[in-house]
This record gives sequence, structure tokens and C-alpha cells, in this order.
Amino acid sequence: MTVEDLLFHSFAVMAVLSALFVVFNRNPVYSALFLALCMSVLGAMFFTLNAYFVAVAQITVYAGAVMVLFVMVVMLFDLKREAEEILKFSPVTLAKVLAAALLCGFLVGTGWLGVTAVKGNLALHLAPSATAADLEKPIDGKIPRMEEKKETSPDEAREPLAKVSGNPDEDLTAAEEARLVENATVPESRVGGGLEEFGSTVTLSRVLFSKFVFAFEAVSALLLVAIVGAVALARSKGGTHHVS
Amino acid sequence: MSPELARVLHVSLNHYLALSAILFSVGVLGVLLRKNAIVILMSIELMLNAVNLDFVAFAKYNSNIDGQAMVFFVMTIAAAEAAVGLAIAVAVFKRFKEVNISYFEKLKG
Amino acid sequence: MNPDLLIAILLLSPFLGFLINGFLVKYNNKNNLRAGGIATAAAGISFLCALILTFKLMTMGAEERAIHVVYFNWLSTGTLNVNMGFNVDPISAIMILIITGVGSLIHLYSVGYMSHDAHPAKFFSYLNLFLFNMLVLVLGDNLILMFVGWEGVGLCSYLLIGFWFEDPEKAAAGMKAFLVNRIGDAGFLLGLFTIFVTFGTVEFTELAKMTFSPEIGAWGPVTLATACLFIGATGKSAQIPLYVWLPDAMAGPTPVSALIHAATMVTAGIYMIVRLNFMFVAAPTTMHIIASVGAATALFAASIGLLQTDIKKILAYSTVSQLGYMFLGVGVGAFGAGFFHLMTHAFFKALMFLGAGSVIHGMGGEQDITRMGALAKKMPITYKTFLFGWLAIIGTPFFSGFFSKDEILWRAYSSPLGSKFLWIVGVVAAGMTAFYMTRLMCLTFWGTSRVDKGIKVHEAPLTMTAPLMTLAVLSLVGGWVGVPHIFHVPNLLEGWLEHMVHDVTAEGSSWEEWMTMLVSVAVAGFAAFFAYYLYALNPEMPKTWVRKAKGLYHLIYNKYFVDEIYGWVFVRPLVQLSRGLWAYLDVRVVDRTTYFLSDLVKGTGAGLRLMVNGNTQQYALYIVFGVLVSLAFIFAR
Repeated sequence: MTVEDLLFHSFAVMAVLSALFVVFNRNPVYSALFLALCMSVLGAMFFTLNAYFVAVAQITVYAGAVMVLFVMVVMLFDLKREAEEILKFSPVTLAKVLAAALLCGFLVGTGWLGVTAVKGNLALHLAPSATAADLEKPIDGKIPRMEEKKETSPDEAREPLAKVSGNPDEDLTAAEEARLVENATVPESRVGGGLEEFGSTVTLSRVLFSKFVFAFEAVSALLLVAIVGAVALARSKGGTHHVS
Repeated sequence: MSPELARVLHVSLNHYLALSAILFSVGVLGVLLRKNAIVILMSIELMLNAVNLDFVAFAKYNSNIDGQAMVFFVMTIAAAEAAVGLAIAVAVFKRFKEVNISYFEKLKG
Repeated sequence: MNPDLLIAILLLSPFLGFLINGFLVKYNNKNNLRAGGIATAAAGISFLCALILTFKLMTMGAEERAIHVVYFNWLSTGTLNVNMGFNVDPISAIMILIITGVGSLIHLYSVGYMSHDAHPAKFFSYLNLFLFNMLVLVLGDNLILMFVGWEGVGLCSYLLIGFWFEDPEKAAAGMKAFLVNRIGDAGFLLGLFTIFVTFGTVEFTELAKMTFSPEIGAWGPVTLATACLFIGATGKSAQIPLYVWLPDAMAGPTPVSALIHAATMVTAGIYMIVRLNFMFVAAPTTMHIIASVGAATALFAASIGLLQTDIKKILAYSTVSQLGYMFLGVGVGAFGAGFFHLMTHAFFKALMFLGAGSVIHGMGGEQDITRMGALAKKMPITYKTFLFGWLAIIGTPFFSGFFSKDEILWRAYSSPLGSKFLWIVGVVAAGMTAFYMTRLMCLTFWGTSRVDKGIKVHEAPLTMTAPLMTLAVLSLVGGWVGVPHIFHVPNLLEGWLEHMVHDVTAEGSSWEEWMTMLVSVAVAGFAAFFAYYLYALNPEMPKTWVRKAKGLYHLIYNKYFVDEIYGWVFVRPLVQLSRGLWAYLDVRVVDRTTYFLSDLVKGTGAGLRLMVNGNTQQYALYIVFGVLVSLAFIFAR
């Protein structure tokens, strides 16, 4: 049991508890605040997962902006503690709880049992070439990089995964699977001469502005539309100082 | 420490997936059970967060930065959606003075 | 002129008349002269073409006397190959002359007769359509084209009989004609099918080339086919058992009765048999049936005609009776004689129908002869022309009817297919014919006037009397083309038909022929005189006889209740059956099933609609259920 494990488990418990509070608390302001807590905890977990930029974005944007917006709206409506009980004793409620529980069970089981919709080694199916090593492919004979790096073959980065039977359609044996799980650690970053860490802003932005640039631009347009829409929906005649 | 307990305690991808699954289902429960529109929106945010966790976990364990790029987009969209959703809630509240969805069952068959 | 063109004009002229009057019906209905003029012109053009074609035929030698024109290949499926082809040969030449000639006269007559009607254009378009269909019937070079014309004239007959359809009785008469005809048509079709299946062709010239072995005493394919065709003929030509429509058909306007039910349509059956004479000769069984049915019909209808009081009904039963004569003629193998009688009958019967129409018109619509009398002075032209028709039908020597009727009776006596018995039946029927026709003359034109004082009797206009006069002349001279050999005058008709029609030769000496002729003349003369005695000289005597034989009178006057019997035996059970089927099958089974299906759909919809109650959270629950199901699938793999 390493420190990371302990950290993970404590964060996990906190996240689950705050999520449950979000759902089962009758005061909407408390729900919002607990959601903010949950998001922050998740942000912390992102740090342990080497997703530094995402973690910061989570805390800043999600917990800092979105949840604040929620709290503002709740307070605008001046919503009181809800009168009704949330978990009533009715068949409908039972069905709902059961459904959610079943869903949870399915999803967890899918993970634990390694159930796949596609037979065989999923990783090889899904990510044959979608690795950071894409950036290593030469364009116009020249490999685009910021500085020199040591020549490493792209295959080495995929080694832990590829070091199994070469046939992608064959199921993994238990031993191979165990090894995969064991070796699922972050290899040393071989991108950009090891100066850039996996999950750093640089790495993320590289892929964001090359491979996902269209999505990036589209999302910015979406934000514009959302802003306009939100303003159009929520405005009142005569502005905010409307005398009713 | 027995191997089974070690297996449970030693964190691997499956743990993150399990956590994400639990958070997701709690979010589903919130959507199904709560009557307050704002709280439902919050539960939806919870579900999106669970999915983000999934993405990041996969990104790490497959050494593929694309997962984090996806999180980037999901976050953006979730924010936009929250904004618009709340704007709608504001408009509804202004009209009906109520955000309890049990009063809005006009879409009957 | 090119025969292609001639035949095309011949056929299309009345069709064009039909179209013009049909499309301009609203416009032409106001002016019966315009409508009638178009129609008569169309018929006249056809007559001219018929004349030219006949002259062309006359210039040809006797052997190849036929103009066969094929316009295009009409049906070609499998082994069936039917052309749109028309055949002008001696038989059809006479037919088209009769149809277009008498037809044109009747068209001219109708212009005057329908002057007070509200829908002249409709009438004339139907008349032209009838002409067209009849021409197709007689000119078609194969059985299928003949059937097209057959059906077409049936349709026109329905349209014209029920012309004044606002009166439900008249409409019903039209329907009756069509339905009874239909039964006959089924027979025709069966015969057609049998011929096609047995011989592989339906074309007349092809069939004529084949040799048919006589089927004596057996029921081979030829007998079967000809019997079925004869059933069709009984329908169209009003023989027993399908004659019942013709008396009712008098509900239509009189020109219709003259054209369709005297001169042309009812002769289609005879024409068909004469056309296929080579086949009928090979089926003696059918011939016996034909002759017997013809003789029976002649007698039966004549007996009913003895007591009728409606002038048109008398003439209708007379037509049925004379048609029976024609069938008797062809049944004993005298195809030429039967055809000859067809021709002369067309003249004098059309004349008499038109004369009756003139009488009705002059009497302001009265049709009951018991309310007429002494019209000879008041309607001289009508009377004189009707006289010619009367003389012709009773068989006055040297009038047209004399030659043709005598020929038939002689052949019935002498032919190997005939018998003395048939001859006697024919003679008795001839006597009855003379009797009732004379009765008609007595009660209508002679004797004392029983006309209602309010009616102003007037003679018909020229458009009506001109055709009467023409037909009167024809009734006199029309028979001179077929004078029997014993008069030592060449029989033009026999020579004309020689190669197409092969009669069964008569076996008898010439003195026997003279004997039959004298017997029939004597019987007819005696009967006529007897009728004159009863109705003109001693009007009270018939009334006492009626009082004495009330039952018999009642039976015959009500046409032996044949219609009622048919109604009871055929119509009522059928109607009950359909009613029962409707109540049990249609309402209980079919309707129930459809209602059940629709209720099922409605119920399912109502049930499913409960799922959509507006509660959004429930919808979210359904989504979760769906996700669970798909996950279960993945798990199960």
C-alpha cells in the first residue's frame, strides 16, 4: 500500500460521500456546495493521475465558475429546504433506485471482469496509432519538434501493451493481463527529449492544436452561441433594473 | 497482506473505473429522484464529472494524451450547457415562480 | 378506293358521331336537329361505304369474294394470336347493308320522334355507338372481335332501353336486358374457349379451312362448343329460355325497338351461326337442339302475342316468334333460308315498329290497342305503310316475308335434320302470326274508333314517314332476291352466298315444295280472315270466348307467368343467399375482423400512451432501462 493508494482511497471516499450528499440533501444550496466539494476532490485526483492542466482547469472552471453560477441561481430563486422527502416508499422510487444500482453494478462489473464488447485486446484495437508518438511522424522529411531528442523508436513507447501476442483479435491470457495491469505505470516521457511531462500543458496543447484543432474552434463557437443563448433566455424587458 | 486484499488496495485502472461508475450512478439517481430542476442539473454535472475521471484515468493508463484532450472539451461543453440550462431555469422561474418539475407535465401523450 | 380506308371510314364514322354527340352533349341537347343530323350523317356515310364495298365484292369472282383487312396485331400471348382484322364477304356484306341502311332510316326517323325529348344528343350518341358495335360484331374476322361487338351491343341495348331511367320500371327493364344477355354471354365465352382449346385458333377464315368430322350422336368438342355458342345466341336473340328481356325492352323509345330489337342486335345470334355454319353442320345434336328450340319459341311467343293489348308488346312477341323461325331454319341446315328471313324480317319488322311509333306519337303516347281504332283515315301514310308490313309478315305471296318464311318451312319439312313435326309446328305458328297481326290491324286501324275524345290524332312529320315509305317498298321487293327455284327465277341470294354458306341439301320433290307453300298460304289466309271476322265484324265474339275460358285467357295473357317463375326459382334464392351472406359473412366475420384489428391498434395505442404522461423523470428512467438492457447484452456475450 503506497502513498498514492492511500491518497486515492481517501479521495474516493470523499468524492462518493459528497456525491451522495448532493443527491440526498434537501437544501439546494447545500447540494450545490457539496457538488463543488466533489469537483475539487476530483480535481485533486486528476493531479495524482498526472493530468495537471486538466486538474487545474477542473478546479478553476468547474468548481470555481460553474458551481458558483449554480449557487448564484439557487440563491436568486431563494429556494428553501424542500418539504418532501426524497426517498419515499413507493414502487416507482424503488424501481429508480434499483435501476441506478443495477447500472452501477453493470459498469463496475464491466471494468472488474474486463468485459469488452469487442473480443480481444482492446487497447490494440482502439489505439493503434493514437499515441503521443504521432508527433514523432515526420512531416516533409522533418520531424517537428522543439528541440533535439534522443532517437527512440515509437514502438518502445507502446512496449508494455504490445509485448503480448501479436494477434490483436486474440484474448489475453491471465498472466499477460496481470502483467499489463502491473506495468500500467507512466513511462518516462519520451516526447520532446523528456523535457515535457505527460499531462503537462505543453503535451496537451500540442495535441489540442494539431489533432483536435477543429474541435477546439468548434467548441469556441459553441461557447459564443451558449453565451448569446443564455443572455437571450434569461433577460427581462428593460434590463435588470426593471420596475415590475 | 493477502493477495486479494492487495489486489483491492493496490490502485489500478479498475479502481478509477469503479469510482467513476459509482459517481455516475449516483448522478443518475439524482436525475431520477430529485424534483428540483436545479438539483437535477447539478446531478447531470456530477455525471459529466464522473466521465471526465474515466477519460483521465484511461489517458494515464494507456499513455495517450487524447483522453485529456477529451476532458478539455467535455468540460467546456458542460460549462456551456450549465449556463444555458440555468438560463432556461431562470426564464421558467420568472414565468411560473416554480422550479419543481412535478408542475411541468404538459407533454402528455 | 382502298378497302382499308373504306372499312375504316365505315367503322369510325358512327364512332365519331358517338364521340361528337357525347362530348357536345350539353350543347347539342338543346337542338335535336343538330344532334340528329350529325348522327344520321354518320350513319349515312357508313351506308355509302357499305354500298361501295358491296359493289366491290360484286365485281369479284365467286371464289375469292372476300375483302380481308388486318389493321394491326391486337393480342399476342402464348398461342393466342388475335388481329384487329375485318372481313367483308357475302355474309357480312348483307349484314352491313342492313345495319347501315335500316339504321340510317331509323336515325332519320328518330330526329322526328325524339323532337320532344329533353336529351336528344345522348340518344343519338348511344345510337351511333350501337351502330359501331354492331358493325364490329359482323365485320370482325375472329370470335374475340365478334365478342367485343357482342358485348358492346349488349351495353348499348342497356343504355337505350333504360334511356328514360328516371322511371324505375324502365331502368329495371334495361337492367333485365343486360343481365339476361350476360347469362347468354357466359355461354358464348365457354364456346369460344372450347373452340380455342380444341382448334388453337379463333379466326373464321382459319376455322373454315379446317375439316370437322361430324359428331353424330356424340358430344365431342365441336358439339360442346356449338351448344355453348347457341346458349349465347338464345340470350342475344331472345329464344327460350332467355327471351324474357325482349318484351320488357319495349320500355325504351320506339326507334330503339325498331333498330335493336327487330333489325339488328337480335339477329346477331343468327349471324353467328351462319358465320360458323361449317362447324354447326358437323354437330347434328346441336342442330337438333337449335331447331327444336326455334320451333318451340316460335309457337310459344306467337301464342302469347295472341292476347296482348300493348301494340309494342305484340310486335315484341312477334319478333321473338320470327327469330324462332330463323333458328328453325338454321337448325335444319338451311342457313341461307334463315339468313334470308333475317333480311326480310329486318325490313318489315322495322317498318312495323316505326309505324307503331308513329301511331303512338300520333296518339300522344297511347300504346293500348283497345283504346285505338279506325286510325286508317286519320293517319293515312302510317296506315298504308303498316299495311305493307302486315302483308309481308303474314306471308302474302310475292311480298318479302312470303319467300323467306316459305323457304324455312319447306326446309323444315324436307331437310334430313328436320321433320314433319317441326314443319307442322312452324305452320301452326305461321297461322298464329297471321291471326294476331290481323287482330292488331283490326283493333288499331280498322273497325270503330275507341280513341279517347281528348286526343287529337295527327299524322307523323316527313322525317318519320319517309323512312316508313322506304321500308314499305323494301318489304315488297326485298324478297325478290331469294325466289325459290320452282318459280324458275334465278335465286340471287343463293348464288351470292354460295361459297360461304353450305346448306344441308333438301330432300324432296318440287311438288312437295309447292304443297308446303300452298298449305302455309292457306293457313295464313284462313287465320287472317278468322281474325278479321272476330275483331272487325263481330267485336263481341272474342269477349264471350274470353269469359268462357277465363283460366286459359289469364294464363296466356300473363305470358304463362314465366317471369314470375324465373323470379321464384332463380332470383329470389339468389337474393336471399346474398342477403344471408351479407348478414353472416360480411357483417359478422369480415366487419368483426376489421373492427377487431382497429380496436387492437387503438387499445395498444391507449396503453402505450400511459407511458408518456409528461413526467420527465420517468422518461429518464426509461433511458436508464434501455442502457441496462444493452449492458446486459454485452454481459451475456
